[in-house]
Amino acid sequence: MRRDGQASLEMTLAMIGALLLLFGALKVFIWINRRIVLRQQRYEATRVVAGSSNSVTSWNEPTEKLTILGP
Amino acid sequence: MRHERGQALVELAIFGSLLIMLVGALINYGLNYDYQQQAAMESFRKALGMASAPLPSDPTTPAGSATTILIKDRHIPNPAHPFATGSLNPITGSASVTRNFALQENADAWDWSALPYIALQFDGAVNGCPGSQLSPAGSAPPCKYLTSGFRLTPGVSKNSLDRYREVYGGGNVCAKARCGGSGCKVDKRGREECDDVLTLLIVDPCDGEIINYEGCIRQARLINNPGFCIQECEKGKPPDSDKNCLKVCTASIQTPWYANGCVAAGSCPPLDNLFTQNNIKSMGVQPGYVKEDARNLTLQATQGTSTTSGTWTEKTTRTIMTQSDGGLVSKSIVTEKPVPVDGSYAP
Repeated sequence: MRRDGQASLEMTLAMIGALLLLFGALKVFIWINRRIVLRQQRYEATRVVAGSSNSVTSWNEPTEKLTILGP
Repeated sequence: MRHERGQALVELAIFGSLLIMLVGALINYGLNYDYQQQAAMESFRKALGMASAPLPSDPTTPAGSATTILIKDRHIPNPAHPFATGSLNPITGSASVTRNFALQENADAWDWSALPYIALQFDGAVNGCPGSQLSPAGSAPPCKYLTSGFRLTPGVSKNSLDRYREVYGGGNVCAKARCGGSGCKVDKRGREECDDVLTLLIVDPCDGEIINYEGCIRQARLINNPGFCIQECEKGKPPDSDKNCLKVCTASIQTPWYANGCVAAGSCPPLDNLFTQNNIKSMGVQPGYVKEDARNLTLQATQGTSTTSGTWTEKTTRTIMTQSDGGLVSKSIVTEKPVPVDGSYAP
């Protein structure tokens, strides 16, 4: 009879883990997506200068850090 | 029932490790893809910069075109390699740029720096470039390799001029004094007038430091086989053109080194000796490379904590194959990449 609540308990613990994993993956996806957009923006912004005679061939990669907790 | 006690633990161990490996493979693939894209962007930017920069021989004229290949060794965590900090993955990007003003431009006579080239960019080259016509040994990368060469051909009959143009391309054959040849002049109406015997300056893509097997076989066949020349001439002729391909392709032409006895792929001694006998598919950087680990590490452990100090570098040796006077030249380039020993991640 002591096993009555075992399934609910296991489900709760497993769900916490699964949801953390899911939201973590979502956060990484959003971070990567944003980084790609920022990189392309910087790349395009320096394109005309790179093609002029005073060529600048580099652009700055975005340095935005991944934050799992917080916005 | 006693034997089923550890079942959940064993299942977790097996499926958990598989899951972690799957996540690791995803990260590995994602990082690799990201770095490849970055290398492609960077190589295009470098090619654009080189095509826009002035020629070394003439600071008022932009180069107009450039081709770059970028090779970077980067650390990418690899689930199949548990001690992955030191594992390096070669990342390659390549790009070619031709500015629109340069589409009809040709190299001035004997200005080697204005000929087309491939610029190989390596990160962390230990002893600089291995040496080529445009990049002396020890110079900092990019290491430039010519993909065409100049050849002076005297004693050419006026009737053969169109044959040379058909084989090498009109823009690559010059019989005028201003571009290094002689025998032809352009009159006030823009018409070309030529002497009976000419000297041609030819820009030949099969005389460069890096040459292409299939392209040069084709060019050798155009020189040696009038039938093939007629076939290709007819294919490339505009519909309203009155060009007589039979006349063009039966005129005499001198045979350069790579076309001697060359019939087709596999029956072309000069090019087969270069490529097939040396077992190389293409010139330039070869696909194989040698990695060498140099570690001088000290692990210091005190109660509860441990620190690592020292140096750890990975050296990669690559081979660059080029052509010179019909022979194969093999040189090595060594690049070095430090591995962080403090546990930080440095791609």
